[in-house]
Amino acid sequence: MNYQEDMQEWEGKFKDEKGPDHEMNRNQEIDLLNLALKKLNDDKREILVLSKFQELKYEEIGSILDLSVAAVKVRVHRAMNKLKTVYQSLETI
Amino acid sequence: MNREEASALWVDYIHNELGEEKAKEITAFLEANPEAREEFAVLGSLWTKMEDLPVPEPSSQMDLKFQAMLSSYEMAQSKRFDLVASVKSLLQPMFESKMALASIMLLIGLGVGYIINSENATNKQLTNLNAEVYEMKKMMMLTLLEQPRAMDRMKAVQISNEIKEPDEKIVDALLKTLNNDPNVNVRLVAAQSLAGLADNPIVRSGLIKSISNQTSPVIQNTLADIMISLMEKNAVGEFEKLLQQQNLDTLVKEKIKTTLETLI
Repeated sequence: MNYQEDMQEWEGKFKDEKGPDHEMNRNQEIDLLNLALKKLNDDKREILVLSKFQELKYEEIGSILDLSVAAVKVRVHRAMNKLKTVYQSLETI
Repeated sequence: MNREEASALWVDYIHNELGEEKAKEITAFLEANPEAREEFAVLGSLWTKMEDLPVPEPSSQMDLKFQAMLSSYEMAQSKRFDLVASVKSLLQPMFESKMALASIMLLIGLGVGYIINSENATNKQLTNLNAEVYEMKKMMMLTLLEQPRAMDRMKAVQISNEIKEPDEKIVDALLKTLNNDPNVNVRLVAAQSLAGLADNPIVRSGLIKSISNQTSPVIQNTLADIMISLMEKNAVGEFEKLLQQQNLDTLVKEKIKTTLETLI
């Protein structure tokens, strides 16, 4: 192994290393996202809960909410957009 | 493609479920529209971050919708223990071959002749078949309860509803699900299934003991409703124990107080 190869190996190891600051930021982001999710109205929160957390297929969500699959997907997108707005407004506080 | 059409495809986009043509269209659209590109990127990143969030509990409104879904599912399944359906499901894979179909028809013909000739034999056959179907459903239920997907565990509980006289093992599995399953919806369906078996003293005492173990307001509320419908005075002590919990939901606290007034 020559000098360059030796250094490349070490660079690879340091590249992905994440310090305590990174961990703190990540926890803060998760807390904010959780808060943003709680601030959504029931309809928007429920569709995200069903699609993201309850492991349901879009067809199954459609049958629970009496909606077509296309309508479920549109609602998921709208709910995500609202979540984004709330999340970004919390970030600026 | 316009912004609205692109938005309608966002869910398929994040799941990589767009066809080749649509994927090309959306890529071209995003390249030409920096605002939409940014929106897709931010939403995608939030969607990924949501994986780190704790699972939120369904709201009371969701609970009602969920109940409605379960009721319609139960209605569809209401032909409990339909013998023809059971035999059909057992034989379904064999129908793929014409030869097998011919053999089955022959066997059915012979079977029918035999059944016509012997009333006792018929009863015996039906009893055996019933026992086999019972064992099969029981095995399926216990296997599904071990699955990691919440939907599978809910199906397991639904199967237990189709079993006419659940044995000790099934009751035990349902009680364990009520007390230990990590998913609140699975615990909820288990509580409802057990309520239907409340004539069994083991089930009744299991439901009572479970009251103070539960931390979810939805389940606490459901158990209160069940105890009122059973007018189960023995549950009073457990509800009083639950009232002592400091972090008890305010609405649940009110519900338990009215439950206690009804029971005492």
